[in-house]
Amino acid sequence: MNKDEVLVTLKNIINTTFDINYDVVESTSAEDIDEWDSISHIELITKMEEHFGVRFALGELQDLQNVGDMATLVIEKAA
Amino acid sequence: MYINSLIQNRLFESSAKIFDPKGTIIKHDVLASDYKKIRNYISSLPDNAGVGVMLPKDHRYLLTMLACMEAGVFYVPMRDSYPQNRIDQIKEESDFTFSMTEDSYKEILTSNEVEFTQKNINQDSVLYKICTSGSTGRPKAVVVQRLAIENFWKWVNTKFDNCTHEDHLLQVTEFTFDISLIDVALFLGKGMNLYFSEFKGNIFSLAYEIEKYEISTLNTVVNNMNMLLDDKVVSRANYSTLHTVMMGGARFSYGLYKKCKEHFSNIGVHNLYGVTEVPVYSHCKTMNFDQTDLHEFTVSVGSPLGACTSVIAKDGKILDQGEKGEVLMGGGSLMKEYAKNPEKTKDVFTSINDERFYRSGDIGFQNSNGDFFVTGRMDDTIKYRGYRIDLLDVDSYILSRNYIQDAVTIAIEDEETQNKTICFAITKKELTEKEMKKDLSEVLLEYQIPERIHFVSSYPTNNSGKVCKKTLKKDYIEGKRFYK
Repeated sequence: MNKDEVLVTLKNIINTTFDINYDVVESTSAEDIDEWDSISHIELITKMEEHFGVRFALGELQDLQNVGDMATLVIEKAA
Repeated sequence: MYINSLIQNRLFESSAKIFDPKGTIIKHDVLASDYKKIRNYISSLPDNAGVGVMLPKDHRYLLTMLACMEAGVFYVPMRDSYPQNRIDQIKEESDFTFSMTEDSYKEILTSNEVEFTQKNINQDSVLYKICTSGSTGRPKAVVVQRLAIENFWKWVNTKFDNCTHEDHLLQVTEFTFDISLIDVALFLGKGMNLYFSEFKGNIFSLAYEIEKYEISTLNTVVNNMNMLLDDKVVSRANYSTLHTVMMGGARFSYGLYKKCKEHFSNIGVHNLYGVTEVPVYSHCKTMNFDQTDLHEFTVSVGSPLGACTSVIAKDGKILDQGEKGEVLMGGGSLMKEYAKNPEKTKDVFTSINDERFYRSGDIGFQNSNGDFFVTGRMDDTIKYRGYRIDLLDVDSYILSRNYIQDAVTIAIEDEETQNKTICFAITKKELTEKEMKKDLSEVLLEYQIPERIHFVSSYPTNNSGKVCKKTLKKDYIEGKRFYK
């Protein structure tokens, strides 16, 4: 999968997880979405892992600033 | 002068080990020299001056607070991100006269050092004024005198006698939240290595910092601890360096108790309870992880700490053990007053047998061992179809179910039943409202089972991480989010 494809999937996961319809782009972060708080972030990460069939380590999750960072991480892990 | 001797000892005589937010140690001579300049400048401010602190959460914030304490000038903790109207309101309530921002801090350090002028201070002198949100949304300034913090810090440094200068402490809490003063006490008293957390909502980053900095002592809010011990977080974290965990700021639920028992049964776990008006905490329970910690599904808040006293009272009379009433706090750690609000100050204090007590508004009881249990809020006791229901009590039973991660029950006024009870539940597995109600009938009486149950993934929280029931209620009434 290339980054654009991962972003489309991430957009779907984010909108489903938070039950919203937000125009998610690479720069979208928790600050942009009210429903994206500390607790729901854990749920989002879990759903990403389930969907992409990967497992993130703590060190990989500690500095994710936005959706673009998430997409990059997914590509690295899936490679 | 306990506070001043702690500060002088740590910054000038012993070593102070503070790390910047990137984990690099700040040289002691730089710290001491910066501190001296900041302290001396603050000491030169006019009598009755106050310092509004608007710095990022790092060593500069800490040094400014300590400088105010030593010089005898009160400080008002704020965040550097506060909007101007909030700053203006706080200034009006607290009367601070000097703003410590990144620019002013830098300017003081680059200017010529001034002479230190010690103000006249005594135990009644104001140490800080801390603003709480207030029920109207307008901040209310709690005025705290030196004696209250002296007493609390003495207790901290005695209670946590297992902590030493070799320990690593992670400052998670913002300085605008008074529980951060536990970290300050341990840093000053024990000389612990102090790290500043960059955690801003991504719990994985907090778990990572604990591992990376080999943190041994952690003081945080219940909400963060709940997330740190979430299965999906704990399964990839390494908390093996932790030996002391302190948590407070909200109810220590039975669900969290079970998680602590599973993961932290070999370390010191302390449930701290209190209010801003009786700084910093008034009660402490060190978990034994046996039946003595619990009353049914309510976790004990322990006994009064340090110079605090506490009783359960109703209608101006102290109740016997086992009887439910309002939790009152007294002794040598009460706040002085609410700034500019003598009526409110009068309302929250009461006198029984010539002793002054703060009325917490919490409902609880004391068991035969002398341990206190908080079972609800006076505001949370409602009438439903003629029955009296304590909503926190209801939540404690809901939280005892294995499939529940968290639960918050609120009441909405209703003509037919007086109140309509709504539970917002975060569950670990999918189930229907009908199934959950049926299950709850095993632990709750029919009228105690919430009328409606909504399954949610999160709650609105305030700055200190507590669930904001007011917003939850407002959002529910307005039909916003919280539905799956």
